[in-house]
Amino acid sequence: MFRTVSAIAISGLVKTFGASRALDGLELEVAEGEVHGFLGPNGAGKSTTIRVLLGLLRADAGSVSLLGGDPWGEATALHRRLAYVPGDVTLWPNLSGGEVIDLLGRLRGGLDEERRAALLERFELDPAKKGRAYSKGNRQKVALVAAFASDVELLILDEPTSGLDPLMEEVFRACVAEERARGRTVLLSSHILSEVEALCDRVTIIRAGRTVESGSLAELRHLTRITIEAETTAGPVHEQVEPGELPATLQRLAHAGVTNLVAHPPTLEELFLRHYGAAPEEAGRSE
Amino acid sequence: MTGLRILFGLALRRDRVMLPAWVLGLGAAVLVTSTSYADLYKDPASRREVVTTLGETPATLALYGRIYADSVGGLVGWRLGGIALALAGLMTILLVTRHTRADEETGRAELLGATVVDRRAPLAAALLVATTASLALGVVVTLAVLAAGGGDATASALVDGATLASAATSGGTTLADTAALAAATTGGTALTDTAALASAATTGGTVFADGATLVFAPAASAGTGIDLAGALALGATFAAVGLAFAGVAAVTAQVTDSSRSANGLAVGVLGAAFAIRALGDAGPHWLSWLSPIGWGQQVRALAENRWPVLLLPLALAAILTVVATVLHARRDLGAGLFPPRPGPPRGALATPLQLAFRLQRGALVGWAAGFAILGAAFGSIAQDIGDVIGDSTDVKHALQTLGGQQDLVDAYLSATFGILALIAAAYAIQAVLRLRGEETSGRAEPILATATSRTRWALSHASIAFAGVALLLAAAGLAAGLGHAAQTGDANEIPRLTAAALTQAPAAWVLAALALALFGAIPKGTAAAWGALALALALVELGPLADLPQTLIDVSPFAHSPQLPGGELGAGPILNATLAAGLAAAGLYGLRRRDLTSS
Repeated sequence: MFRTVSAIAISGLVKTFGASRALDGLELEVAEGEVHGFLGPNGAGKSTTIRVLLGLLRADAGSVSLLGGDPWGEATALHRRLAYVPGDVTLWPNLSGGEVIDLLGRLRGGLDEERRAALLERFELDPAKKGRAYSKGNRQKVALVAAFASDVELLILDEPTSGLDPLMEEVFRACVAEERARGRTVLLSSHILSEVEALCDRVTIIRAGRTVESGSLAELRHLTRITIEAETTAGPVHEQVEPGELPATLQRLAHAGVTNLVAHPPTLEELFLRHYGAAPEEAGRSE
Repeated sequence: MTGLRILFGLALRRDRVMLPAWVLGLGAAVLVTSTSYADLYKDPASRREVVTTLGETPATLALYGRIYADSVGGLVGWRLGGIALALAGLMTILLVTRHTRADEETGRAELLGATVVDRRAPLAAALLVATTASLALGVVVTLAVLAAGGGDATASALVDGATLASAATSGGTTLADTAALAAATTGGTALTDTAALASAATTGGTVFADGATLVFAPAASAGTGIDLAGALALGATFAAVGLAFAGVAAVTAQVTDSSRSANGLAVGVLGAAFAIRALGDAGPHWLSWLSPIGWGQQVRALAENRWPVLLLPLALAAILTVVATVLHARRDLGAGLFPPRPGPPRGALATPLQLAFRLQRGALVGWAAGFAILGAAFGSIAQDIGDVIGDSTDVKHALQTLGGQQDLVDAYLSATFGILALIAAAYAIQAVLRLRGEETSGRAEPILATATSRTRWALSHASIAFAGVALLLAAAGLAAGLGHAAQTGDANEIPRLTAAALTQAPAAWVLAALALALFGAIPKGTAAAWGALALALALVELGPLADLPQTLIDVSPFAHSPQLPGGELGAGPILNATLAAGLAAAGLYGLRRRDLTSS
């Protein structure tokens, strides 16, 4: 039998809403067992892609495979094997958090009681509060506990840390690391770059419904420039250079009387800025 | 008050459909009632008959109140003084809650509160909107009553303006029948009031005359007892009662922590006010003076025009506004007066159906209680109907046309159950459309991302709607049976009436299934289900009286309900159930194929 190595395989995905083209030939490949970062600015199409993956939206064109199946046609069966955390969690105002966690767990086909208790503790979540009494961060925690406590192969997390404080973000990162250690696949949509950098094996960057960059962080760095931060007698230097320009740059710095030098691969922040931080006219030209 | 003007403008803009719909809808109901009364009770003898029968029967006293003048105006004022006044209160309650607690609940108030607005401005703007609506309603009511009192020419022009155009040719008889029916039976009460509700809930002017195109006839025709002062007094009564309940809602919005409970509490107060005045009118009269609706009736508009009494609801509105302002200043944004109670840390819900039931349970219990009370009320006065109607052959004829029965009591009960089925359909539509609410709020998404199919999720809410219809009608039938059995001493009435009420369920299912079909196929057009309900109401209730062609009447599923008790069962329920199943299947098919709307 042919074994699926991709938990998610999307190719040429198109989704339009009336006149607007939300997804325009998007590509996404997530291997089994990896934590995959899904990056893009607001409105790039991250949530739309995830809704197609969940079978909530129907693709107009392109092929989409989720855990080896068709997310539209086999949604119910596939959903047994995944857990989803939306970016903006809305709860029923008169149900308690504990009730929602248990409901979602049962609807997915089971909940690990020990993990549930441990997660409530770690996220410091009071499950007896009613939905309307939770803050945004606490609503997010309800969905996170329900997802991490269920026994699934794939976690689809859509900007899951929005509203969490830094301490809770740490807890979240630890949870994702544990999931990876247990061999689960995670699709993590985010625009918090440090989070993706710390957690993800590979990254896909999308913009305006299209994939602009995809690969491991090492691969992406390979494609990009080296950041040079130096102090010279002539003043501070901060620039990015192609690897091939490095010898010339170092010579120039030596001549300038370098007193301090840091060279490092670009952070994801810098990768990201290269694609989205460009001035509008520059961005326009690249299209 | 900083920001008040802007917030008031925003509220008016948000209510640009809802507010005119309420005002014109209520105005249209007032117009139809007073027009038909002016036509029906031209003859002093017929008026005296009403006074001596309906004016002395405890059941009608409880529903409408006491009659204070035997002129046409006196009867109009009497007929509009109870339930129509309560609807004015309902309008301002919903308006105030919508612009206070509901905004806090959704976080919109926070967004606005962070801008340069006075802390009290949102509450003030809400009350200002309610005041505007109350005054507009007062003006519309005044105009409608004057137009009705303006003589035959005006009246028939108005009838032409309504969709009852064909009725106008056959003279006053059709309207006379409608009005007589409305006056003579409590079933008729539900009829006209449902009509008022339905038209208010939809576009207001569709069923009846367009309130905006009224032919204004200021002439106070002699003998009708309808004059400018009386019409103004009635309009002012509506406005004052509306204001009083705006004050009630302003307070309940401070006390509770959700718009649902704020509305619930305020409507509870409204219901209590109605019940207190009902007791007062039927029994110890001083009780009426404890109720804002009772005060409205004690103005005795179009009879004695006791203007000073208007000070009572206005004073209450002022006091409640002060109370609300004080409470508002003492609490945090978003918080109620009492801290929220914690829920269970563990959940027992395990299926979509259990979730749907949990979400809809409260509403269903409330509706069932209402149906039981209505059923008990209708059932326990059924036996009196023959006595009440006396010798009025017109009324007998109208009732028999509507109920299709010779036996008057059975005809009355059958007509009552038909009307209850229409109200049950309103319940079912809102229960089905809960699906749309879950979808657009984003709460459906996490559920559908689990191993729950769309069909199963949709059926969870839909099945509560379908079973709910049966439950409501069974409750009404059972209570009517108990009430009727208590009068006749015949226990067989209990199963007979319960079964008769239940045979009406399939017609209501058709509308529930239509709502489901719209939700599945045209989710943005789900409001059309309410339009269909208004149409069905107009066709079935007014059709036989207005001599509409049978093929047109047969469009409504309610036309195919059996006329039980007393009539034949027939194939109608089976046909309706089949149609409902087909529509539901179409809805589920559409839902499986469409995109889900995300928040």
